[in-house]
Amino acid sequence: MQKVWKLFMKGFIFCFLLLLGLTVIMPVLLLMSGSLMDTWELKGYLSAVFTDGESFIGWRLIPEFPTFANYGKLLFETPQFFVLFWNSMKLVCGILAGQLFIAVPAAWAFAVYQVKGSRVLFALYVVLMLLPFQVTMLSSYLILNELLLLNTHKAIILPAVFSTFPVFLSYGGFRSIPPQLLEAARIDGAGELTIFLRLGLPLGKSGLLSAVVLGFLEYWNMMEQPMTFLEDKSLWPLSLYLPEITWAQAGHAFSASVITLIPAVFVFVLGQDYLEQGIIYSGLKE
Amino acid sequence: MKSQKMKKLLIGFAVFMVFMLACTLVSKSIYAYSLPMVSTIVPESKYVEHIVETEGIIVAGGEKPVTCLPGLRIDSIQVHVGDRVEEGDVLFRIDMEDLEQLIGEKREEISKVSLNIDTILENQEIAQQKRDLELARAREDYDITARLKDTEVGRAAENYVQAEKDVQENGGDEELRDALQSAAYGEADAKAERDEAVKQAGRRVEDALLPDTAASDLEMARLEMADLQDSLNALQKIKEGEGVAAAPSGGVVTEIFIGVGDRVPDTAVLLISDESLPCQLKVTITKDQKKYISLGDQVSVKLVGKSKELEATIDYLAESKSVPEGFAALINLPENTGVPGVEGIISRSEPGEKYKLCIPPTALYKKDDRYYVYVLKEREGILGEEYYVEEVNVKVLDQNDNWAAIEEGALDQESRIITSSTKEVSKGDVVRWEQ
Repeated sequence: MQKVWKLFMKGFIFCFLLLLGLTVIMPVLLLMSGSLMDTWELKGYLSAVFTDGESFIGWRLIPEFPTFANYGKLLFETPQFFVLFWNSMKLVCGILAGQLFIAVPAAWAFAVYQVKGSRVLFALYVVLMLLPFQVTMLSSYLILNELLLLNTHKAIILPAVFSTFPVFLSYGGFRSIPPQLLEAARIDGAGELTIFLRLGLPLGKSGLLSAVVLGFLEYWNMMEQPMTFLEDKSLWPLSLYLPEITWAQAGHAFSASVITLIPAVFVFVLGQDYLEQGIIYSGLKE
Repeated sequence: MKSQKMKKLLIGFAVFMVFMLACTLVSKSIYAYSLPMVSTIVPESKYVEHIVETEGIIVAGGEKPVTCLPGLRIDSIQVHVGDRVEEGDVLFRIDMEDLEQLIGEKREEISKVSLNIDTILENQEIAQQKRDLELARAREDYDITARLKDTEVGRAAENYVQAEKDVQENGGDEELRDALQSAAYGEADAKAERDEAVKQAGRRVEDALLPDTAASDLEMARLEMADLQDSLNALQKIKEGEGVAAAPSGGVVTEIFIGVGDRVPDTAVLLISDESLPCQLKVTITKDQKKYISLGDQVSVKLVGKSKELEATIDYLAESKSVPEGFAALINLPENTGVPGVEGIISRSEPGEKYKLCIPPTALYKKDDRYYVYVLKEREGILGEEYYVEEVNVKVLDQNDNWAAIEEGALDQESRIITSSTKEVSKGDVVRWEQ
């Protein structure tokens, strides 16, 4: 009897979790099915949007008339999409490269060298990390204007390069390296640069890669910074493309969303393991 | 195992990026190919002159009818409308068999009328004898009546005289006076009776003297005879001419009213242009053209086949009966110029005002009562600077075949007006500019 009850509970929990999982993944499923629907089918389902909410939106997970026309139009007839796609790539790669170059040595310094005031400075870093973009937007705008960087990609890349969040994440990874190991290396005659390159980076790569994955996901989807600092549409990232699409092109919007999702999924899957570790490090007590 | 998975993921990501790169190139080329290529002009300052040019046809200044003896049957017609004929040219031929038959019929009719005349003459002679006899008898009756009645009057007068004498002799006896009275009445009655009888006898004499009605019948028969004879002579003449109807004068056949096999009507068989009058060029002008052409205006006339242009005036201008909303104009050509049926072109240039903004009419579009143009504009798009089409409503001040004058305001001299496109364009379309 107890066995049956256990089995029942197991099944119940499985079903409950499956339901929760399906609920979580439902937006992606809707996105996928919407991208395979033709204009007329979508219009039928979304007509409630245009009738002042007098009725409810209907939906089918499996389209009645599946078509790849939306993808065909997006991939072969819409160069605007690719302009923004490569803008996004340029911005994200530039930001991540800059962060690796600036934030990683900074995190190494905070983690390894105990100089006077470093803890205060690190605390200030954390405070800066907590500040939302809206708080720093005006000051950033004024500075970028003075530096004649507005309406250029540098206006997005440079502030992000000096973001404190990757410092915070990498710091956790570097802190997990035992100080005795570093001391032993010094005794063996290794220089500080060698220790950083040969010991610090390999041992703290989980924190670095988690910073890269999280940074990619954040900057791939950023909207406020480009909307504020970029005037020319030709400089916009992909995240600003979807609002440009009208409701009449709903299928186009769904397919664009799916394509936009792919690089983020790749990066997430590639760095999934490191992401978990990096988050664990960031939670470690000093 | 884990690194193997990572490797596959990295390869997959690389393939995705290469695919995106390829799609970038393909989509750009497809997009560029699909964009309409437009060419533009900027408005120019121009004089908008109006040139009215229209074709017409030369018509005869007057027409002469060609007639023939009515009732004859047409055997063949040798001319068509528009043919030029000279005097004596064969116009049509009469059916000779039918003509022979008609001549026979005429002769028969003449014989009948001739017999009729003879009969009338004979009857007249008999009637004359009768009338003479009646006249003699009437006169005789008149004389006898006059004589008898005079006698009766004389007797009555005598009775009256006797009665008067008796009264005078025998006094005023009542009976005698009555007798005198009666005698007086008797004399008066006798006189009245005599006058009446003489009058009646005189009238009978007058009646006998009246002319005979047969005389007018004879006259009519003779007239009919003369007519028939004339007709016969005419038929004989046609027969002698072997049934040929020739043109009485030179000209162009303008209208034919009969067909082969028809009987000749008593009206005109066909019409020939009157060459003694100058020809006219007949043109039809539209309502729009009418704005720039009026009665008495000088126009240039170019006739087909003639190298030299003529200067002439519009001599007649009125609403056309055959063309709705059209106007018919006539231009008298100089003497001995033009042949009816030949085409001609008239042209007139009306100098217009100078306008600051003029565009070709091909760049101007009309929907209902609204005129608009497509203007090329520039904007910042995702692909960078891009050209797009904007629809601008305009007011047309004047227009000819080459230029349309536009009111200032909606456009300026910098506006790039789209004049042609490789594809149909509409408001908001992104296009390529052929500079």
